[in-house]
Amino acid sequence: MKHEITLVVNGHEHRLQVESHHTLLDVLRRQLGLTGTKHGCDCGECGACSIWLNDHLVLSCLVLAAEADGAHVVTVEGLAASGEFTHLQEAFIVHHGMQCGFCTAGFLMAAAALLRANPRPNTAAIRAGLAGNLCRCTGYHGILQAVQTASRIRR
Amino acid sequence: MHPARKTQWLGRPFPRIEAGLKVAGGIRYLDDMDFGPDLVYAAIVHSTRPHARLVKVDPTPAQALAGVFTVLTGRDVSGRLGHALADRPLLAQDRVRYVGEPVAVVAAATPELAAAAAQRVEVIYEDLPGVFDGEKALQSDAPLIHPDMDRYERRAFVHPRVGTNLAHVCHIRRGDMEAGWQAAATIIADTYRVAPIQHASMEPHGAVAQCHPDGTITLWASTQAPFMQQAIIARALGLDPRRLHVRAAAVGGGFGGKSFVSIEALAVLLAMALPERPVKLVLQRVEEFISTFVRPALVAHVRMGADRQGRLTALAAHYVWDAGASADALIELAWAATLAGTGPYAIPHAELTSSVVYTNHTPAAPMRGNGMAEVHWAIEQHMDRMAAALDMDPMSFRLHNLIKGGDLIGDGQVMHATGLEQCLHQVARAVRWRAAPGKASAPNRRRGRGLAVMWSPVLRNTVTSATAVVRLEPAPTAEAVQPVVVEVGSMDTGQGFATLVVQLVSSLLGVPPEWVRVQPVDTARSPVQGPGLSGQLTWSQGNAIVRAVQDLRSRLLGTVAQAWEEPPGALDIVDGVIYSHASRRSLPLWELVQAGVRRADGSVLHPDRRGEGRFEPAAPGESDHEQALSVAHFSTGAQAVEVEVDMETGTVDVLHIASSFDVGHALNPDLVVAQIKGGAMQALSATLFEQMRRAEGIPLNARLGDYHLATIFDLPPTIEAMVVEIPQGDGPFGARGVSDHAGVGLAPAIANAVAQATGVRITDMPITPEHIWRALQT
Repeated sequence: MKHEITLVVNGHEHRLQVESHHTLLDVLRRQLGLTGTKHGCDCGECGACSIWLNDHLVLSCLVLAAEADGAHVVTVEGLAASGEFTHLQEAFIVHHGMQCGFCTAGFLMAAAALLRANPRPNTAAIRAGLAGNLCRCTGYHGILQAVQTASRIRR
Repeated sequence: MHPARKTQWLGRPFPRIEAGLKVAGGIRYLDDMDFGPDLVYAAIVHSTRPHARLVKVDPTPAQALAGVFTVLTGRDVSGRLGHALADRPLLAQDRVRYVGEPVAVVAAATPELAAAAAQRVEVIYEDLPGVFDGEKALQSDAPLIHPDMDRYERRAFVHPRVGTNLAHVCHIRRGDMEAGWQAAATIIADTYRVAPIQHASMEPHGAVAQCHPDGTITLWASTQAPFMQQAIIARALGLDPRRLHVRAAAVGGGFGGKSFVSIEALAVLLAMALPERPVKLVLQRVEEFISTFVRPALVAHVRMGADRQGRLTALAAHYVWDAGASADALIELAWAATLAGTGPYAIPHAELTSSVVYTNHTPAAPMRGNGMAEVHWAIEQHMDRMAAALDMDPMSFRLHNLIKGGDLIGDGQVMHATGLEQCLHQVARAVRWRAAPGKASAPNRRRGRGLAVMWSPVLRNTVTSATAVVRLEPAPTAEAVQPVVVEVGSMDTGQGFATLVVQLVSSLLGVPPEWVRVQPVDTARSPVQGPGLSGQLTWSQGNAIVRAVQDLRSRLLGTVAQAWEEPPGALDIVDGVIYSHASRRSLPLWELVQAGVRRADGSVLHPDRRGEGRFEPAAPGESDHEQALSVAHFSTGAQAVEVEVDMETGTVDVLHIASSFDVGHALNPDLVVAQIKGGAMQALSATLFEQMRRAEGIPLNARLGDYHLATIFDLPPTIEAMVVEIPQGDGPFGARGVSDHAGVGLAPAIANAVAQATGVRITDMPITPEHIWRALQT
């Protein structure tokens, strides 16, 4: 069954026809070409598809597109709304918070959500905030350092 | 030439060249690429039985679905895949040998339709008795998994025992074993086990293939080894390799799991059945677990002797590798494990055997370390037990026996200079090895420290030769289009290899790094390169790049020297400008490329704009067999940890990891540190958590929710990365690789620390709370 929905993605409004079984992740990638958000497991276990839905961090593989009608969505492509990198993105580069880069978008969205809710997270809070994201390359140390640095710069 | 200037961007931190794209979500991995509206989606029908005769495979119900273009089964194709031993059918023929084996493959208009059609293919099995244990597979009454093994194509260094499940055995013996045991005051024998694990790169495997009107085929793949895929797939399909172009997409992690061929040939088969339509096959996570390579399970039997002074006298080790249903990807691993199977010690009498054994499990391939993590799990725990039996400190016992430059290795080669001893001292100091055990955080907890040393061989064979091309493309401005183009056949799979290429080329050519572009690998254009299995790219490909730049520089400067009538030695390139120390004349490199250089008589000379370099490690022997036996060099290092164990639950918290490796020369210290820390955490995950659980060949935890990968919660409070730099004689600026083996010593270091904390020794990896708890009860 088809559904007509409206999504505001990274500040741009889109009217879309979606199938009942299409996830928000499918629609972002296939219909809007926003491929920065990744398929890692399609069942909410890896965090690679993390986005913001109405300012909440969600796994876009677990949200049906039809459910998101009317929602505001932010993806990694919209993270630096000004066109400049955010402090967080800069810090990921400086601290080697990525290697292969496949998990990076998910980590950035989770870390940015954490910093918005808690601008000065301690180490335990950072770990808790990023516990739902898997990275196979970095061992997380560069990611942890990047979030710490970004939080200091924001102040 | 000023040497300092020539290494301007080397030996210092340099940011990843693609990092900006990665944090913006702009890197295109295979599944992100646009293949247009004609794209067709593929799905695999996997075997649901570990060992069975195929009674019937009926594609008709699937073909009847609207939107299904084709269904291929074993009736339609007959080739076998293999690099050294062609033992894996493209699609199952008369029987299936593991749960997950491709039985049929489907192409349809949408991913959903392809999945639905795959479910409709009717498969009738007649179960056969299976083999689910490497050692049971060697028993004389074990069911045969490959009865036709003698008909498989194989290279000279593969030694199968036809009529058994032994696909390959290699053996080295040196000294006089009897004399070695006679000289020993203490002899200990035991068995160690390593569970199979998944490479689990975050990006699943994927491939897109398209057959063009001229009969050529393009395969876009997430691959670590484009040239190897081209060769293996072309041979299996009976194609001229020149008809098959492999184009590498950005790779979202590999660790060995995207070497060789996993599922890529299936996309090619479908593309050949559907000319001109691009066909896409991207795996679901569950398929990653059941149908792509795993790190092999190992059973290691170790017997070691030492004299009263604490000198090792003899070692006998038998490594039994569970290859699953295909042994091909473990052939060179088995050689490496045999050549390095003593661990990094000088042992006068040694007998080493590696057996690669067929079972009814998912095929295995090397995972980061090429078998070394598994071998050192056994050897480095055994060293602690020998030390205890001799009443020696484990570090002192190791220092007594460490391999040194000039010692004999393998079956008669000589070891080169190594910084192994310094690495050991560094990590011991970092965890305060000689200090009393730290105070635990609660009365029911105990602390302990452990350490381990390691070595890892780079084999000297066709795989480690490399070629590079560096050329200049004419362009209006140098900054605009990155006109210094580098072509290599090796993949950056996330370790940062492309960044190193830019550092090398910009430093040696004398141009800003922003001018340099590394071309994506395309087997139709890129220079041929081996698969890069053993973290040797810095060494092999690095050398080829150095030579290519030297070639280009001498062509450019030769032309200018001729025009200006000066000796070439008076000329240099600095920041993109050619400069003469003799006449003080200068000429922007870009002007030279665009317009040539004017001679005194007004005529214009144009330089060659292409340099090529090749690195071919000198081959000591003529035959495949001799080359398989030869080590180009060893990488060495040490790791130490402090742990705290809960004596009631058996859980282990790693508090501190210290790693040190002899990297020869750290060309990019930040990338080296990133590799060492990331490698340590990947190893921590394998040591404490990971295990592919199976019941009689049926996978039990084929999803990330049931398969514990380390998360950020598991990151120790302290994680340190250090280096020692004893130059590699034939490395670029003395460098050798580090990414592959950065986790090799961690598992035994943790096991040794757990033993010190609890008094119990865990010989089976992973070290689960249950293992520890049970051991504490007895």
